[in-house]
Amino acid sequence: MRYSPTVIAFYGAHLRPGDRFYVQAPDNGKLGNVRASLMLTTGFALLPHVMVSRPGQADVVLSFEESPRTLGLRYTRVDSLVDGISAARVAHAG
Amino acid sequence: MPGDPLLLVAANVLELVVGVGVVLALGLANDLRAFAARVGLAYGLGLALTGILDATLALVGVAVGLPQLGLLAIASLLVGFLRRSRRSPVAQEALQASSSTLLAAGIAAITTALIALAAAAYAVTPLLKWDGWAIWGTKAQALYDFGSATGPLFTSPAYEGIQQSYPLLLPALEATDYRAMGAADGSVIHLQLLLFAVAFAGSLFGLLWRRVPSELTALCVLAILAASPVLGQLASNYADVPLAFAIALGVVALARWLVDDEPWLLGVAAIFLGAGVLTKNEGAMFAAVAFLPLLVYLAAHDRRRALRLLAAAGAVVAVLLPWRIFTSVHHLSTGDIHFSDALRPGLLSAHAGRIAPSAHALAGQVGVAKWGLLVPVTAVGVLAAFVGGRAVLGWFAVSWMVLSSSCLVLVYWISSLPLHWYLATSDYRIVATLVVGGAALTPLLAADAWAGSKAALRELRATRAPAIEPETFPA
Repeated sequence: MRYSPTVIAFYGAHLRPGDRFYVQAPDNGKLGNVRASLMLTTGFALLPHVMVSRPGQADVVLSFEESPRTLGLRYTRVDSLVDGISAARVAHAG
Repeated sequence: MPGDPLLLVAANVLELVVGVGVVLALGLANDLRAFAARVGLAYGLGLALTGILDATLALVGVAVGLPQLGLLAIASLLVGFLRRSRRSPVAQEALQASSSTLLAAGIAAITTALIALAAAAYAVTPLLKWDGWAIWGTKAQALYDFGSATGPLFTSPAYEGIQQSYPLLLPALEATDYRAMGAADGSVIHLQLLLFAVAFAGSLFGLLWRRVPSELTALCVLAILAASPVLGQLASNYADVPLAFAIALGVVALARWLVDDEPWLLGVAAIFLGAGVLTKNEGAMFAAVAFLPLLVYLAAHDRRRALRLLAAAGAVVAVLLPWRIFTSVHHLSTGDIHFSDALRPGLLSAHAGRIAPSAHALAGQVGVAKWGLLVPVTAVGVLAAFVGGRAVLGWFAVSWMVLSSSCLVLVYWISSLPLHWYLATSDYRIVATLVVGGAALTPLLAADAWAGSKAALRELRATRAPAIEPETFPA
């Protein structure tokens, strides 16, 4: 695994009660790719926060080795742990 | 937040009481001695029944915790006492295998020591193994956090990776423990896994009590629990060993019903096999290949019993039905294995190269190096059944094991997953049901031959003793 417990703790620290999150990470479509693995890890470790399958449904985008800017969403705040690892709060309309 | 192990134990005591009600209702505990012998069976039945109930109620948004368990325990006891007062003891109680109680107690003491040692390690073991937390741990904690399986975690495509099509008995029971403790403690929950082993040991003893010499059952239980993959894999929070326990008990109950024709055995078989099919998807496969040879045999020899067996199979299907409806309604992926693929000649032919390596890998996983003497002992048990005049029982055991092994090879044959990866990540644990099931059948298979040998030995001693005594100790 390329991510560490520090990364998961960083993600967890950027979620508020009731927040839904989306995982953005490299996905080559192969078994056990980084995104699939990170989705499993965050899916367990960040409970009771719920993961969503589309970025537009999320309150927070958790990015790993990717930039949340590429998803075409507007954010109220983007925090980075290091370059390529960030938590971006989505600006919902209304 | 750490959980209190005593509250987990409290939940299990209530599950035991649920099973006591069942045992009383079946007329299996009509005196203190019978109750003591069957209290382990009561625990196994209680765990299986509350597991089935927990997993099914979770589908409609009902969470089970200590208060609900308490109500269930009271209701079960009431039904048990009412039914008990109206029925006579089961005829089977007349059976009495000659047992060496002291030897059985000694073996049971060693087994207890093994479990106590394991408990010390289990209580502090974190959820470390991948599927243990990623699949089963996530589901258990989500059931605890959300109270049911109706939320996105069990239905949304975002959580496809947690194998949403796997049934819920194990995580539902763990979620009940979390509710009892008021915390999702991933370490203390391992004690529940160990308690499955306790329930298995007690249930096997209770199932075979009076039918099989106690020392033989005790020896077999010790051999199973001492085989390193059993307690080793159980600690991983994977569902394979709990599945093996449930299916093994169901198959043993079916085997005993075959030779003794006591109705309660069929009920017990349906409960354990029902728990098995709700533990893992392959549980349905192991249960089906247990019913199939019996149905074929009884259809030819005793239609009335074949119909009763069909009713028991129907009960197992009924247990599985709500889960199948749930997965169908929510369009959940049924996983990578589709048994209907076994009917596609093109695919079977294209995948033919997978048969030999799969069979070879599975054969390598059931050897002495992995499971100790369990497989050789099972083979001796089968041989003893034929020698001891229990050929039908022997054929049943052989049929179940051969069909189960064939189905396991079929799983790898029809799958489209990369074979080496698939074998490396599953072959060592997918054989657990086969090995434990075969070993659990052994005491019943060997009982008559064992009793015959003991009787012959006694006879030999009796005929020799008077002739030797005067010469050895002259006056």
